[in-house]
Amino acid sequence: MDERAIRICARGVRKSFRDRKGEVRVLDGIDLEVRDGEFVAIVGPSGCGKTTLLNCLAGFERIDGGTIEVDGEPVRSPSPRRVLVFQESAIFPWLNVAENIAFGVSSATPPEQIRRTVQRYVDLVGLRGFEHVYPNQLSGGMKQRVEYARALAVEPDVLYLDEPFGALDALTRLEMRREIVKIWQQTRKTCVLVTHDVEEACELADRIAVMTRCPATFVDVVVNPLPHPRDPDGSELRLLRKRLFAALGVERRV
Amino acid sequence: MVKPRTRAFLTLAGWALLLLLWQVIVSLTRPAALQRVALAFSTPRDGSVCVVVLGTVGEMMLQEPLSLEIPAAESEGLRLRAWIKASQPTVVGMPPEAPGGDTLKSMLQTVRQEFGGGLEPVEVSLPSGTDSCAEARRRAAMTQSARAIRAAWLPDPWEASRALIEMAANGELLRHIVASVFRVAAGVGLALALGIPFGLAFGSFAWLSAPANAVIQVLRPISPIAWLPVATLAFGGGDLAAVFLIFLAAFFPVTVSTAAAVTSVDLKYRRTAINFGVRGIDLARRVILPAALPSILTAVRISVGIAWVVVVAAEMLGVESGLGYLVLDARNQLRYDRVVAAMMTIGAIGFLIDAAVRYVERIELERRGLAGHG
Ligand SMILES: Nc1ncnc2c1ncn2[C@@H]1O[C@H](COP(=O)(O)OP(=O)(O)OP(=O)(O)O)[C@@H](O)[C@H]1O
Ligand SMILES: [Mg+2]
Repeated sequence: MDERAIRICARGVRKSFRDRKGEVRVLDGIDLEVRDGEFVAIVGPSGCGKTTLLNCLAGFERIDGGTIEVDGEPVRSPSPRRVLVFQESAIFPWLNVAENIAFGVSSATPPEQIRRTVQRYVDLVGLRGFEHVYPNQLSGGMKQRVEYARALAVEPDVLYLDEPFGALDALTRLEMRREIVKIWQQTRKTCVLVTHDVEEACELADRIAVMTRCPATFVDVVVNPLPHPRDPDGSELRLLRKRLFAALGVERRV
Repeated sequence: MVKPRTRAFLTLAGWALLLLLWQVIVSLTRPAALQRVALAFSTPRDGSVCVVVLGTVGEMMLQEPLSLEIPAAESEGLRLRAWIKASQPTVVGMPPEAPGGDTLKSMLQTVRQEFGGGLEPVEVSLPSGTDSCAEARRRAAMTQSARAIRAAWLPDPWEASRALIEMAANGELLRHIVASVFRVAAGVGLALALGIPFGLAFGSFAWLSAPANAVIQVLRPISPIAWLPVATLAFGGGDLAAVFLIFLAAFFPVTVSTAAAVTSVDLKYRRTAINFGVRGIDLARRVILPAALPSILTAVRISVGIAWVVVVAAEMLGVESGLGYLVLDARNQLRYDRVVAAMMTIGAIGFLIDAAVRYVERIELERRGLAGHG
């Protein structure tokens, strides 16, 4: 059994939105446990409530029922200890790469130390030489790297990733998966990734939870202990994918 | 996309077209000049001159020889007097100095005294031909056109430019430009200093935006010109009243646009900032303001444009400087060439101000990696 401490503990999380037509139940009793340093993926069809779940875990949305605790403390508001990387690029266009990465670092930090932190994460995501470039001159993949560097620079305990590759082209997407694995192996942050891409989840995560259409619950949780780098065409991953597709209600020959 | 050089050329072409149109309209609408009845003499020759009187449409009213010999002087003086009495000329074309000219002058002087001096003498030199009456007729015609009465009318581009150059040369124009620009700068500066923080506050706090909007939306439709009496009463006319009106003209657009820009700042930027623990004043300074900056700069440009329109109107009351004052003052002197010269200046300065603000806007946005707006 896993000896690591439990970082995130969600029990019976319920969330609904009120609109003109009435109440939309989005999350309907979600249970999730994530251990320290674990990489968990949540897959689900589009519109099932993945972003909503992350917003709740990060403290951006109030939940209507259940509990969410991080390190044993209930989550009430957002905190730099758990950073959410948004589905669409949210780096600030008016700041250059270095300034974006330094954004969350406390202004009480000595400038020299800020500079060193920025440099460390610039190097980690491979953006050396682009420190003074503004986002409008960066490619989609580079913007994504800035986003990770900015999140990591505040040394959070938990990283929430909301479909981080959604806006990227297929090639860049493959490249960024490797990048994420590399970053995760080097930093060993606790990561929760949501995606509708089963292959992505299989390649990245230690554990994969499958969400149903909303009102959403988890229908299956699959453990994926394969070491990195993983061969996407290996027999283990093929079996895993088959099981996930079945859980999602999509029959597919692989 | 048009190349910059083509664009500059097309801009100039547009201005040329404007000048052409102006010239055509003025020439077509200008009323005909009114000709005065003119008396004229030929150059004295052999002790006599030819006397001609032309009427208001250039018709010959009289053509007679006049002797300047001493013995005949008195009776000839009476003849001249009779002609003048009959034809009532108001200008007289005199030949340049020549022998016998003094006699002519003293005869005329006698008549003028009798008529109360209503005869304006104009010296017109002409090559004297063999026919002295032809010379006198030519002189009368030239006198008429030189002293024709032109009704006050719109100047054409040349006349306006001449007035413009004249006022520019004697420093008058610069004084008025400085006065107007100063008022706009003061009014707009005040509007930005108050409007941007107000807009930030209205945009940030929902409970503030409803009452603020209620106030702004009923004050905004009131033209700054309608505030003129109130401003004069409150500030006693002068610079302060004008600056107040410009402030009003710029304050509402700046405040409303800033508030709108703040409310439309993308939620993901706010959430990112909050996620990193950036809140309150820091959030406004580091995220809201830069995110709203493109819209704020556009609002500034529009406000400066409005302010420039309003300053001219504001200067038509209670101040003694500025381009608006210049327009009114020139009108009161019936100097329409100056009126139009002032209008040209207003247009040109307005154009330059807009170009300058656009430039600053572009530089600011580029410096902040936000190029591509405006
Ligand atoms: N603020 C809101 N108000 C009302 N309904 C909302 C709100 N946010 C989300 N929803 C609804 O909740 C459901 C889940 O939305 P969510 O964005 O979490 O889906 P998602 O799984 O992230 O989708 P995608 O894969 O397209 O990103 C949707 O039906 C959506 O319409
Ligand atoms: Mg989503």
